[in-house]
Amino acid sequence: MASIDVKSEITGTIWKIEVKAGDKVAEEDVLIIIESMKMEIPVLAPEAGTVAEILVKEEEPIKEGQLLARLHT
Amino acid sequence: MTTGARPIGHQIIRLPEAVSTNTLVLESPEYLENHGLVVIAEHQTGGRGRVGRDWASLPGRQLQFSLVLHPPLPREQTPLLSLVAGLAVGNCLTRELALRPLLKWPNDVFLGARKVCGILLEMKMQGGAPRVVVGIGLNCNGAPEDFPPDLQESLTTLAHETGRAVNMQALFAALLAGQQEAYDRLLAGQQTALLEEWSAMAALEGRALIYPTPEGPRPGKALGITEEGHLLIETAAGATHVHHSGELEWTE
Repeated sequence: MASIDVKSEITGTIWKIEVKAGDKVAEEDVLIIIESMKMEIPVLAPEAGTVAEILVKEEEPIKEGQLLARLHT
Repeated sequence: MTTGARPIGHQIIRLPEAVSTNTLVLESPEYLENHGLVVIAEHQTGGRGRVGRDWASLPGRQLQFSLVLHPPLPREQTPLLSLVAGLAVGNCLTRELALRPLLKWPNDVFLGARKVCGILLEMKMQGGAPRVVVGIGLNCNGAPEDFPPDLQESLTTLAHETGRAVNMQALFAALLAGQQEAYDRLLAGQQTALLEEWSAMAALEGRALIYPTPEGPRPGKALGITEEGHLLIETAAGATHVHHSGELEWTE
């Protein structure tokens, strides 16, 4: 089983978390929605797998490159 | 550099009513694939502002529309579209109606102390490429008294500010042309000039405000914006805080 890190490509705030640990996701499923400068930007699953952990919480400010979640594939 | 794409408004879908034009576009893969498509509704029954806030609808007296963009920009530059969309609306109100709009970070458009236009951008990945939906709501005709009582003090309309009824169709065409011009300039690498114009229209330097933090709202003073369009705030302790998201409240 491989582990994949899901990182943020932008700086912003976590608006919505759409999945929880244990959820099965398909490639390109929305995991998290980030809000930055009044633009809502989805973070997608890079591959199909299972959500191992979500490392942020809603309303948390995040930085570009920050680890948001881990998937097991 | 050209966008290599059809102009904004090459196709316009007009609806008497929609829950939210942004949601309607986001839920249609066909619409999302159509760069430059515009959907406009006379009435939005469930229009949204930032992070799910409600938008107050005045049927037939507001321009409420969404446009689709396929921006060939690096991901970290994509949120700049948010500031650029607000600047384009501000420029349009200056040119067409000789008003003096004021931008509130990142893209609310005010006339005096009252908001006249709200903008919400949403992005969706489709076929591995970002599709951005820019939703714009502009209060044209009618008066502040037409809004719900709790919003009358904080909102205004163009007709109220100019003292004349607004030709909404002419203004709609000018708004689309303005969005096209600003988008072309961003893609042509004029980010710095656009942000300077944005700053001039925001008049934010030194303005006292309250900004949200995970520990609760904090007082500060606006210093300006960064090259990425983030807001620089001087904290009460004299430090510099870079603000990326969250509603600000002006205290003067």
